[in-house]
Amino acid sequence: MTLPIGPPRVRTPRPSTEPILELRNIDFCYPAARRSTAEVLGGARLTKINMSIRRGEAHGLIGESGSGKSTIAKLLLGLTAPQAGQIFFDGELLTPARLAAFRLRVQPVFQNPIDALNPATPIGKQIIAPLLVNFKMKSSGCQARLAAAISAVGLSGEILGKLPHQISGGQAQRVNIARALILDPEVLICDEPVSALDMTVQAQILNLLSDLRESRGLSLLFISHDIRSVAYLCSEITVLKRGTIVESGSREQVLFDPKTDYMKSLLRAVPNSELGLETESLTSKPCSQPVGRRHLPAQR
Amino acid sequence: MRRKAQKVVASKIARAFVTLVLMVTSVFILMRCAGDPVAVLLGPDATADMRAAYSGELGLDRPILVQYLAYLHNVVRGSLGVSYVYRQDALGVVLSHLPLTLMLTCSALTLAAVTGIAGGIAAAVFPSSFIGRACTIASLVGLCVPSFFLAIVLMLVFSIQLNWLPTGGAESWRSLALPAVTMGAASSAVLARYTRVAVRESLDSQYVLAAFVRGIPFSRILIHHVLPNAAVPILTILGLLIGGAVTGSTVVETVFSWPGIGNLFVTSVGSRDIPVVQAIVLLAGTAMIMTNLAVDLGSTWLDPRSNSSET
Repeated sequence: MTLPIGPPRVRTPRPSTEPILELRNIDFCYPAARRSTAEVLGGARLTKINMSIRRGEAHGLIGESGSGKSTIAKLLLGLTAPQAGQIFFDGELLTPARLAAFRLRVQPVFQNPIDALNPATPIGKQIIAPLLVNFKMKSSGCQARLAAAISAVGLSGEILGKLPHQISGGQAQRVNIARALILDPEVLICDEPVSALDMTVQAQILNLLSDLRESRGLSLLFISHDIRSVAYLCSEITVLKRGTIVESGSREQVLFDPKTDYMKSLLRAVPNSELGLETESLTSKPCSQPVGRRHLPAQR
Repeated sequence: MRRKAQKVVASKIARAFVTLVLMVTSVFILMRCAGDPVAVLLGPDATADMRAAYSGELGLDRPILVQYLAYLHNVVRGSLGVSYVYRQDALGVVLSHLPLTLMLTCSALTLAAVTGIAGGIAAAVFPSSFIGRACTIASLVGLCVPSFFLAIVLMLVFSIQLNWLPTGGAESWRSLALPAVTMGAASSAVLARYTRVAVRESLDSQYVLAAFVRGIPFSRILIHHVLPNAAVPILTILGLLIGGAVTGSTVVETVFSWPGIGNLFVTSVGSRDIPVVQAIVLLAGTAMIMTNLAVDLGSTWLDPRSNSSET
């Protein structure tokens, strides 16, 4: 396996209806021994999940705690296998034999940025580790790629020699994104990537993800329980409740014309102004189109 | 950064010194509370005059504060007094027994470290496998069985029934086997339990998951991510076991008549040989403090977070 060396390729966002990642009729249930209390009480049993993420699209997955959002992320990362149904990546069925290659093209960004970094290893080493191991590159050969990844997330080279406890949460999340980008993935699975960060940093990270999607044509699965972040970033939204998809569609459909009481209740909890739900903003700023930098509405 | 590290080391050494002074004082007071050594040494038939004369000879007739200051003065000069029983330098008596104790504790701790850490890692990495379950059960049994009971069982089986190994003494390497296994079993069980928890915790962390989904092989994850981060609690426990091994060997040495420091300690307490007891406690305490200091410094090196206020 070879990896093109040099600056990350800039993909022109291809408005495409072709899904890059697709879940078809997925059923999943944790073995009884591994179920948490919340799961036993009804969550995380996925039933007939059908969902697709198109190329260059930011797809939001929203639902309350225990609804199965993170379980879907685990399935998509190949960390667990469904009991029924199939996962397709780039039109091909995902099989155990294809998992290793798949994992390099689909990268995660986790909720707690500091915990996702090895506390005993300098940042720079952590970012290039996948290149050294998967592509047998030498450390010196990774430097250009490392510099590109770090600059893509707005960090300076000084951070590379630091340890995770020496940087802030926002910087750590940028490092996590850089670590994902260094493999030049096609999909980022962002599992609550901003929920552990303060409001200002949340906005910065959301803007960064939005810019990366636009500049690199990345597909994003953005998992969150915060409808404001999803409304800000994603053009497609899937709503999950107790392991079942209760609503799915474009941002406008789901936020503007919710079909289910559950979604209506979620929307009622957040003022429209915080979702950017005014008619004008919906028609003038569709999230998956290349647009200028938007600014996250202030959150209370 | 270097200055900061030096400051940390200096503060740890200062703390160790204060602990040592407190320990010396405690031992001095406790031994004076344990009864009149002259009565024990001279026996019940000694007259009051004989006791007074002997007391004066040993310096025990002086005020307690004077005795304490004299003791501290001698300790600083490296003299721990003369044994009431052996009539020799107390430190010399203790040091003559030290090699055998070191031989026993080193064998036991090597056995414990190898089996305990390997078993703990196996139990954490393969929790549902036969090996994992066997290690978990074995460590639990090792924790529950007291040393003296295990010693007797081993002696019954290997010395009396099978007649493979001697029941006691320190005549040959064969004499070392049973005491080392007895002493190592408990330490191995403790290490296995702590290692299992530490490795499991590290395995369940997000940085391990992050490494896994980036295609890093499990063996590399284990060596580069899991073990370095699990090493601090394991090192701490290992340090405590090493520090406590010098005195922890008392039961085993007594049961197997192993002529080490533990055995000497028991006989010296019985004969109120205060200088020897004080020398042993001072030696054991110093060993414990030095080991703890080494563990502290080792932990700081292994886990830079423990020595940083930077965020």
